[in-house]
Amino acid sequence: MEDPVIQYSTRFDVQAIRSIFPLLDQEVNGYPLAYFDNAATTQKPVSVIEALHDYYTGYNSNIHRGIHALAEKATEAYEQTRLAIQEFINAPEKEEIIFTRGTTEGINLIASTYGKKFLKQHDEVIITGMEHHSNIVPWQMICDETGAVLKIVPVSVTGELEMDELENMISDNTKIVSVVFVSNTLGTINPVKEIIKKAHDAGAIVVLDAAQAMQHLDVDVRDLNCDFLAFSGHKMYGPTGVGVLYGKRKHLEAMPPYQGGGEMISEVTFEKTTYNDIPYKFEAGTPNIADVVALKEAVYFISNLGKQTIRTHEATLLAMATEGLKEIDTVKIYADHHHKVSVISFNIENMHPFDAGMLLDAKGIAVRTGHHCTQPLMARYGIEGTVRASFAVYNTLEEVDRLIKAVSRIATR
Amino acid sequence: MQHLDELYHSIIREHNKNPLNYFKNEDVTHKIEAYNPLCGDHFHLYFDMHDNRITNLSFHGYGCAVSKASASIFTEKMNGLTLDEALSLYERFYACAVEGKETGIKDFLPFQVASKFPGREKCASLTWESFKEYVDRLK
Repeated sequence: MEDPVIQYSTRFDVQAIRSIFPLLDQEVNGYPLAYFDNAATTQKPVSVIEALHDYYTGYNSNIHRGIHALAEKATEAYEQTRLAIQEFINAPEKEEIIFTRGTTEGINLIASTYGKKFLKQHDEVIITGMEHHSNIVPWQMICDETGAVLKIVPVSVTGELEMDELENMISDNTKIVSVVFVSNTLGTINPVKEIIKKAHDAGAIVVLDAAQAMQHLDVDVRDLNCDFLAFSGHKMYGPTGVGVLYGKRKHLEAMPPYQGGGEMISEVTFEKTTYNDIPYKFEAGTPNIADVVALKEAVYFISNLGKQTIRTHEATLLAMATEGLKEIDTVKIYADHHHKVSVISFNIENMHPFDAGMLLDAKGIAVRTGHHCTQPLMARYGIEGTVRASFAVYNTLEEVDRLIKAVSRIATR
Repeated sequence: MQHLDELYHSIIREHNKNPLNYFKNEDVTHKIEAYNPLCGDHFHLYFDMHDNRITNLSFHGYGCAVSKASASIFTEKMNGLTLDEALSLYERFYACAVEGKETGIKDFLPFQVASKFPGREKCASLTWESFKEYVDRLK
């Protein structure tokens, strides 16, 4: 076999990118770290880390209603991120951007406010067989509570949605379609625009779990015409503990609040409380100010590089990994198709994913193993888990080559 | 990575490849399910118990190398023991595989190594813990 590094090349200056991710420059178990667990969480550029530091050392202060200079500065930095996110996803209005703790909280928020108010007995909620548990359990909970019925679009053997089944499933009873934009386990990019069109034709609203989409794909909520879109900061080079929920104004205004407390009210008396306007109606309590402020830097990092540049580089890494792993007889790849982001899930014959992950870790290669919070998808394939390598913009061809060689060695031992 | 080599090139690797007492046996007095939904490891343990003595141990199922080797060694080491002796051996295994302590039992050594790897002590102790929970309920 020829050296695969020679077969693949990229003009992209990955070393320049790596230099602004300080964590990457370290050894693990005596080898340079090859970090391929990006679908779980990405590493952070210096700008994000410094933004956190600057906030805490320079202007830490509670936001809104503050009369002093630091409070004003913190408020401004916090609200600037809202504007950056609005632009990032092309949302019509900044009030449609709600800060959450992450994708999970975003989906829970919709299920327990919109879902609780609008779902009735015999209404139907449609999700898919490749959802993360965070887009399954909140809907199970609200269906249990309201008597609505949860329906599941099956996944094909190649790891794509059975769109014919979806079409048959959507009816006048369908009230909510909540679907993962990009599968965290398989990397499959779902035809969400088509799904949104079909759902809207039936009078249903669409929630997109975009946790795995923002760091790879252009996401334009106006073009998509989705009703809600939830994502996390830490999977797109931002800090942990902060996420975004976009919702169309008409829905957000019709929804009851999620949590009660400060910030979400306009006036409180013991007789009656009036709620604040959106987005503050959904941001009760002191928010995660520092991480919201730093999230803006992650948005700038992605925007300055450009999604196209990121995707082109990642596609090269994915193609090389796919081709290299396919050549190993005892390796089985799940979802080997072209509508994918840079995620590759595989198993080695007669080897538990944990064992493979541990042996890769011994070579300094960080992958994720297990069910990836998608147990129904694992059941669909009749497996307990996979080894998942997920690539980010800072990964190199040399690192992918190390992965292929290490898997090859493990698979033939 | 000497630890890893110890772990994989020695007892665990051999037991994973050629597990001892690896068969289903429904004709026994006791059958225990050992299941960790987090990683999908799922075994059944079979054994007879007459007059508090454990015999005819076997196991079957799916799991990683560490959990399978551990179950294999469990079926071998527990055979012929009284319940009290079995619980005492469980304590020694726990000290070794979960707490990483020396026990002087050669077959337990690789699990002491396993306890040093992130998350692997659960693999090592799965069948042993399931056995312990089961007999605690019997009492």
